[in-house]
Amino acid sequence: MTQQPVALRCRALVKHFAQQPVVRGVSLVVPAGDILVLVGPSGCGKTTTLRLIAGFERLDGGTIEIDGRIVAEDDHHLPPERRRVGMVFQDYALFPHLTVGQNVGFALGKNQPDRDRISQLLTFVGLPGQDQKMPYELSGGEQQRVSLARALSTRPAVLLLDEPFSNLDAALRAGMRSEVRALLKSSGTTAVFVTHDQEEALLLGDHVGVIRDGQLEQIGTPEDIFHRPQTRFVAEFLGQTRFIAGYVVGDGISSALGHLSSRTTLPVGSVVEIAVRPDDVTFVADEEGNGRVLSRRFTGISYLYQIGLPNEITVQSLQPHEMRMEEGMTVRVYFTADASPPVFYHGHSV
Amino acid sequence: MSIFELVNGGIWGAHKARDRSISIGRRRWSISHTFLLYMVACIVISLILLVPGYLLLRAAEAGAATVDTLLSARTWVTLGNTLLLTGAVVVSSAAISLPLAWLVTSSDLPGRRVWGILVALPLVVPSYVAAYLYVSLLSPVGVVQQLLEPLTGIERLPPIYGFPGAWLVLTLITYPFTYLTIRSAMKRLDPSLLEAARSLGQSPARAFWRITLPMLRPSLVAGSLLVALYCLRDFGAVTLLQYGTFTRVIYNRYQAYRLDEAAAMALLLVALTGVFLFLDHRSRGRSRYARLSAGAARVSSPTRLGMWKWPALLFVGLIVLLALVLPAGGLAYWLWRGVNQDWMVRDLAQTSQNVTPFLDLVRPAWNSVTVALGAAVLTIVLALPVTILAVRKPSFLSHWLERLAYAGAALPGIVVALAFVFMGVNYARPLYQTLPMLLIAYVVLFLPQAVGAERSSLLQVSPKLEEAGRSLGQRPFHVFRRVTLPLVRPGLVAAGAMVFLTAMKELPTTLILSPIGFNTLAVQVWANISEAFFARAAAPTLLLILLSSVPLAVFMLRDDS
Repeated sequence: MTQQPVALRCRALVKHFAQQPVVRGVSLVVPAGDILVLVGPSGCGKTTTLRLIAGFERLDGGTIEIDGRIVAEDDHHLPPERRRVGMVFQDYALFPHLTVGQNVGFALGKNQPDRDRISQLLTFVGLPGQDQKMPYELSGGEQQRVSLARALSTRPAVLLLDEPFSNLDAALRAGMRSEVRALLKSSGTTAVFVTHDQEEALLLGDHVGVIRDGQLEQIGTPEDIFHRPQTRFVAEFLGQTRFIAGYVVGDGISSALGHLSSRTTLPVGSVVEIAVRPDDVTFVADEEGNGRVLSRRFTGISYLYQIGLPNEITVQSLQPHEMRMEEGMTVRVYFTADASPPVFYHGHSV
Repeated sequence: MSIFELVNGGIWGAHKARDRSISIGRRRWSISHTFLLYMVACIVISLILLVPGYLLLRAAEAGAATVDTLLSARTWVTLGNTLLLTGAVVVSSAAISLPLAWLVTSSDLPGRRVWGILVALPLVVPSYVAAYLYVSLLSPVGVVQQLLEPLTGIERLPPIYGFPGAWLVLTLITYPFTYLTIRSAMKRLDPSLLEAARSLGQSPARAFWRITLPMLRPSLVAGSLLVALYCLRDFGAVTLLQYGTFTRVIYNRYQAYRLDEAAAMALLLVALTGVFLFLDHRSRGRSRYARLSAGAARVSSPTRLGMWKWPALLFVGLIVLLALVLPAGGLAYWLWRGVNQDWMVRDLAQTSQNVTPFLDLVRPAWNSVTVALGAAVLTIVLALPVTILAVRKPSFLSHWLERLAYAGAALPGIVVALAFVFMGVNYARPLYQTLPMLLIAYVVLFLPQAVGAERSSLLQVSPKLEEAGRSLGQRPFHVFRRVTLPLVRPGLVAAGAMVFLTAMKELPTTLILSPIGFNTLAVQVWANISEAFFARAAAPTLLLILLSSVPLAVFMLRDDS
């Protein structure tokens, strides 16, 4: 991966709105042909970051480099039309007065090669021969494809996508995600997505950046982010995580769910938090146990149990159908043998 | 520090000009883009400010004389007259339009759709036309008296001049403002609210009183303020009916060359209009909430009138008779008289020089259309920078430019005309009584209307579309031409048409600022009726109504539905 040329490099981006910092020192690198997904709760500054890269907002600090060319730094601000970025908007922003073909060809000329390119692009996104239609005649998913074709028409160095699937219904969304990812990969396009949906981020990205309060909490591969969250926030944001207390003992960490052997430099007796996901926990019926089954939810493939521990702490546990426990049963809860949950000390990974 | 850097330095707010680029040549070009918009907008707005500014200057120069005028009994009587007339018209308009609106939206009144349109029509009749028709019909020895005398022996009708006539005429042409606002509010009213009240044990009448009426209050207020502003600005009706409100008194002072007094009273009028405009602005801000919360597509079943159907029909019919049939009949009568008269004149004189009266109308009609067209195009173009800046580049300055543009609505036509006459005579002699000056005065007069219309159509174009254009490698100007302009074009055309039709009817400005010998239809009508040549006024009146009021009615009713 280090061999790939860099398509986009942001260094210490800063942006204020009315004296309020919105983006606070975001730095990231996207190798050419890769997909980066910026994910975070609403209002975290991810969309502003995207708009800074696009050039719709001016930087208050930092540097943006696209294809080895500095496009924004200090007072230097290349306007959006000269940055070689493409943008796919949340509501698609198709020009309502132009046909599909005219939308896709907005940046192109009227000559034959350009016309050929329009039909190529439409074929590429799966809408061959639809160029005479008006945007309102298309379904949401089709509008999405047109918007993608239009953004790709200029062969942008970086394609920016702002919550592109949020206006689609759930069934269509799943299909479009994999389709768009395949299209981007087959055209070798470098892309930056913005989303608030952690599931989408993990599915789409070669790299995932988690943003919180205008800062990049962690950036890495989806696996990295999911299994080795650097902060408590990342672990919590990626979902289905409950936290239980633990304390450092001689050879690891002790908790209500058992002992974890982990090497830590923290002094013995330090109180830490352990991020517990449903697949880290199992339980057996035990009259003398430490927990009680609060509820059982059928998820299709398995059961998801809510289990109450002392001190009003709850954890979740995913269990196959063969094991069926009723609500109110007393159980003994413990870590599965291969569990190595992330452990945080003052919010940071240890 | 160059002016360009000044623009970018953020002195006008946190929103810096976004379209700045690297190379020096390019940088200058794209900065001057925003800068140019600001420049045009500032010039346009300063034209508006020139009017009250000049009047203030003039009043200050006159010093003691101004104070004398403002303190004179005549001024206070005028103020009293103006407020009395405005108040009376507001009350009677509301009293007429509330039942009207209810009858055509919520009852089973026979033919309510047709009635609904008919009662809205008087809105587009110019006040001086209405006044002329009522005077000619209802004056003590007018047409109606002549028709009634053989039957009843009445030799004189009560005098129409003064307060009663002005009240009647202004009520009959302004009640549609309240009617239309109340009607659209009634249509938006969620029927389930009334049903909820009924289910809580309220009778229909109590439900109306406790639910419908409070929910209509914002629109009643908004409509009434429109009526009040109309009365304050109106010149034609009060002058013809000889009732001494500000506009008439100002015009008389102007004609008597007592210009300092005219300026002082004009200032007072502007202050008064400003107060009502401010109230209007505030009531609109609130009524927006009401609109957001309402949202029922379901139509409630109309209330059955039963035996009340007959008095209701009588009421609606009476309004239509008074406000529509009577003036239309009057116009037809005078038209017929006019044609006959001309035939007689021709027969008597045995000369072919006095050809049909309609040929005399070609020139004024042409003048009316061209000057109104010029005003429309100029106003729409000049309003655009103000609107673009206010909508797309929000900053302290652009916000205030827009506010000042709206505040221009506080300037009645007579005041604008007066200020331009003063300025023309004193500082711009070559421009005085020329077409350019008339057009500039029209721009001042119609800019608020144009900015309002342009704003709403520009707001409908998502800035995302412009950003999409930019991200596809197009420069701001090209994006404006290829994306924004095609999308706002219908809105601009509609706004232009509104200005065109309003300009065509505009009287005081045209009367005072037209070049000598430049006759428009409005001026022609006015000249004839102020000399009481009622028959001769009929043909230009009809043409004026055909050219301006009929399309205007179509516009307004279409917008309304």
